[in-house]
Amino acid sequence: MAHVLAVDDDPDILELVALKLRSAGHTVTTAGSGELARDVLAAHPDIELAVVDHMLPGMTGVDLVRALRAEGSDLRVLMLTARSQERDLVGGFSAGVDDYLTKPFSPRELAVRVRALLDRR
Amino acid sequence: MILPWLTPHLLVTVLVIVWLLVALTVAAILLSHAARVRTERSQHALDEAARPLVARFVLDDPADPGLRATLRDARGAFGDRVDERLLAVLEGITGEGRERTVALLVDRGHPARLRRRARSRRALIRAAAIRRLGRLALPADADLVRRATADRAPVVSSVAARALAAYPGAASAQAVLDLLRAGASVPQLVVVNSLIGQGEADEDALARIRQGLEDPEARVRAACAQVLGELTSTADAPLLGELLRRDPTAGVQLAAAGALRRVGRAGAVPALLEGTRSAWGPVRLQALQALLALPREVAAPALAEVARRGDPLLEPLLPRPADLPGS
Repeated sequence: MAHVLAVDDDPDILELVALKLRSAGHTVTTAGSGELARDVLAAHPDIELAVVDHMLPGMTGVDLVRALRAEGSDLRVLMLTARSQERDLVGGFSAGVDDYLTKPFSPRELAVRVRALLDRR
Repeated sequence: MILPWLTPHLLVTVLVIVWLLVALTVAAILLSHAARVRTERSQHALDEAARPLVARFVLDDPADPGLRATLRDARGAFGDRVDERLLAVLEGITGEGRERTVALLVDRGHPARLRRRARSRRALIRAAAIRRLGRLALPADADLVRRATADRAPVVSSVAARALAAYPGAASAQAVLDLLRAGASVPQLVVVNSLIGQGEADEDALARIRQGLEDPEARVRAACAQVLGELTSTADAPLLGELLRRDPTAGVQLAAAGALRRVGRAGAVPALLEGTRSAWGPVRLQALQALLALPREVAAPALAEVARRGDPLLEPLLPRPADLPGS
């Protein structure tokens, strides 16, 4: 089981994601913005994977991933995105996103995708 | 004396009254602000209490079999926040969790309350109710939401158009197109997104959108062309090519060329080549972009012909002749 960071500005979805991943046995830390996520990652170097919402206010999910990759981070990233933003994912993948899940999503599928990404280690 | 009635006593009285009014206004503003802050804090605290319960319910936490009853029976201010949290979660999830959440909201009598609010005299209340009904997407409310697209208040018709994405079908697509045809002040993006959602989910809605390419109203034809491009089915390329060739309106030609840029294929080349001869510069540019988006071996003869024409608007975008296959 791994330490996972969940990043979303929607507290209802964040709660749901965190609870689902905790019930799957992971340790979960949450952040409501890209800026906070960077602080959390700096404070918890053991975090192995981040579930990041695409449309964060200020620093977007893609901005966050790009910044992390520029710093040499090999954190696994699963991006949550609205169906209408699927096109932007080309940019997301080139920024270093490992996988994505379209909102609305099935919590069960989220847990499976996280497991699969962690297994890629 | 210029104003004999303006005695010192009267002056002081007027000043005192003015100061009192100012003080009362400031006090009223402060009290109203304090009340708003108190309400927000109270709502925030109730949300913080409701959110974990709702998340556990949505994920079907086996450790708390009484959770459903707790949420079902929540009343008053807390009950309102439970409804809000359940509705908020509906935005993000699908599958069993969504079905469970909708069933709980039905048990709580929430849809019935929303239907009553949808008849409110206040437009913002009607709009909020329609938006929430769209999130629930109960088949029984499809007609109500469709009728709301004809609401006299643009905020309601706009919300209804968006909500109809949850009720895909020929009748819903028609309602959105009627709204567009009526020239209602609904953002184009709302209309297009609603039609994209419907076209993705339902063949009848898609067929109605295709019929919209022949609508007498140019903005309907343009919106339908844009939607078909966003749906990225190459099967629609011939229809869009015809629209680009025959439509007399620049906005429609532009939408058709833009759509072909996404769904274009070899068969669309003659229409796109014609588009590069349009009298309207933006159409020529869009048609050229669509040609450039095709595989180079398919578009090369057309690109060579555009290059021979020497259109100063298009020349900077053209590939060098040496880069074209067969050159």
